[in-house]
Amino acid sequence: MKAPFPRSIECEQKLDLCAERMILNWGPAHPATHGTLRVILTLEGETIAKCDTEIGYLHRGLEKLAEDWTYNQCVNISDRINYCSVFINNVGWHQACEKLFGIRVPPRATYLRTILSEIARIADHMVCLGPNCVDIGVLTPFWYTWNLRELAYDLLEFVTGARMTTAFTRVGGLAADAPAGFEERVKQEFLPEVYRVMDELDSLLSKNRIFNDRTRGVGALSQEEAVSYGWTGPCLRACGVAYDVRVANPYLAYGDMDFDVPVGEHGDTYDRFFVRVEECRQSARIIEQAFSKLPDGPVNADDKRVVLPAKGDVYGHIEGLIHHFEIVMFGPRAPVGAICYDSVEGANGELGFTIVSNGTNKPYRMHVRSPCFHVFSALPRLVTGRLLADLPAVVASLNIIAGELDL
Amino acid sequence: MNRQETSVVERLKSALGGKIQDVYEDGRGVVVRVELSAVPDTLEALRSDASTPFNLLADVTAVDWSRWSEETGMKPPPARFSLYYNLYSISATTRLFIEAWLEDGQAAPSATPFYASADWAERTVFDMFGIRFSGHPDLRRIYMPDDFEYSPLRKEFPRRGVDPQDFPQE
Repeated sequence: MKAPFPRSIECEQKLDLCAERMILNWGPAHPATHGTLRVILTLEGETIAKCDTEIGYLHRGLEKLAEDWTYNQCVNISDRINYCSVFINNVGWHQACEKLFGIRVPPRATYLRTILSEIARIADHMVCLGPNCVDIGVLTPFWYTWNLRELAYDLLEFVTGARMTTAFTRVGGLAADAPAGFEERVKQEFLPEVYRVMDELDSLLSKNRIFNDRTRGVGALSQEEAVSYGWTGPCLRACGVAYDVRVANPYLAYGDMDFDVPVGEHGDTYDRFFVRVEECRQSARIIEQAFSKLPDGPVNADDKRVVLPAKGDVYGHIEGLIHHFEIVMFGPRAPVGAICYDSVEGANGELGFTIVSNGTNKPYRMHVRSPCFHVFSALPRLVTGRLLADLPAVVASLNIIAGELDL
Repeated sequence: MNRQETSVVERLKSALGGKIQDVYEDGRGVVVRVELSAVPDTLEALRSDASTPFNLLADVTAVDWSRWSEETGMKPPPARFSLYYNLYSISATTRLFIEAWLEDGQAAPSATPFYASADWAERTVFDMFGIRFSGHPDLRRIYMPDDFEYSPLRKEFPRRGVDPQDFPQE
């Protein structure tokens, strides 16, 4: 259809400019990518016509490194996978190792691992939710979430000595027992704050008109597609699929815990946000129950192949000293030819470790099934045809952790 | 194997016949070894299985066995590489691994027609091991730069990496 009046030349030029496609590089060092990743966008005006992604900026070759590190050293590799919920990675790695070695972890260690995993999960969800709000343009909730994350990191530091790279698990248990006063600190300082912050987030955002307009229906994916893309974790549950490794294949102490698996309906940014909010409440419930059932006893398996001897033996007997030396210098040896896979529910979904053992103290091959990798692969599907301003909202709600993306 | 896994394997055997080479259990669970050319049929049969649909392809990965007998003294494996498909049925909470062996230079059939997650997973295997996937719509390197000449997870690639001077200069 022709315009009723002839347009001026300036107007024609402007229209031509709009019709022209523009390439926009988003990242690899953009504050809203929350990590080093690059998104190459072809824009038509403000609409995303084509989206391509490039990852690998944080690729450190962790799987190759693992072939040269002992099973206990590799916990440091797991530290660097998802650096926002490190303790869950530690558990995932050593749970796979324990399956390989055929070791049962004592009950106190499994309960402590459960508690620390859930604290790490809450910290990770806070890292997702707060910046997600900031990217949309709401700054207030960020301070609530960041304060809670700080409390969670304080607790992790209190137990493990490190805020982020905890490296606290060992083959057969934990590096140490929790210090005295841990339970009181969690119950008095942390848990009430978790419920309070979740209520604040609910009241600040769930009925906020601007937040609803920016997130409802944005970046939605159907159940079938989400499963096909290999999604797991909160992103998949937001689509309405109640798959949670903690329930489907109970590990640690999750079999004894009473908690719900929140699911969304539409699989959009809004659902992903509030599934995470509800998951934090459930994590707090799990922590409460785990403390009420926390058994006494050792935190390391009674297995001389893998666990360090008592200090009295090391200083008092030559056998104890040799034993200590062997484990520290060479590390435990896995059975030859064994292959195992074990997975835990990471903050972003199923985090699985495959280990192939050649009978030495180092894995022959280690492979990580990282949840973020599969979640991010669906990004072009989520944002193509939508506005550029939706992209930061979607990427933040997927909780893309570059360390998990690149390995 | 529990009852569910047994019945899945039985149905798979009747659908694929002699293409299944072995069924065994290890630390991963049930592993079904098939011929390389039968991988698409196996994936399709498992994905459309009536009672336990394996709708989640959690992972695709490979292992380079070229140093295996040298390091362990065990008998050499059937081929240089093995591919593993990690399948999960969300509704039946059952996991199954598909294993296929291939030689260096041999191309594997792509699983992208059946699972969207195979796209990036196969790109990783291609990048890290140099295994090609025939029928993959977009087989590019995923982590390493395009002008990088090596496949880092192959056993002959040095663990300390290659000298930066070896990189092609512009």
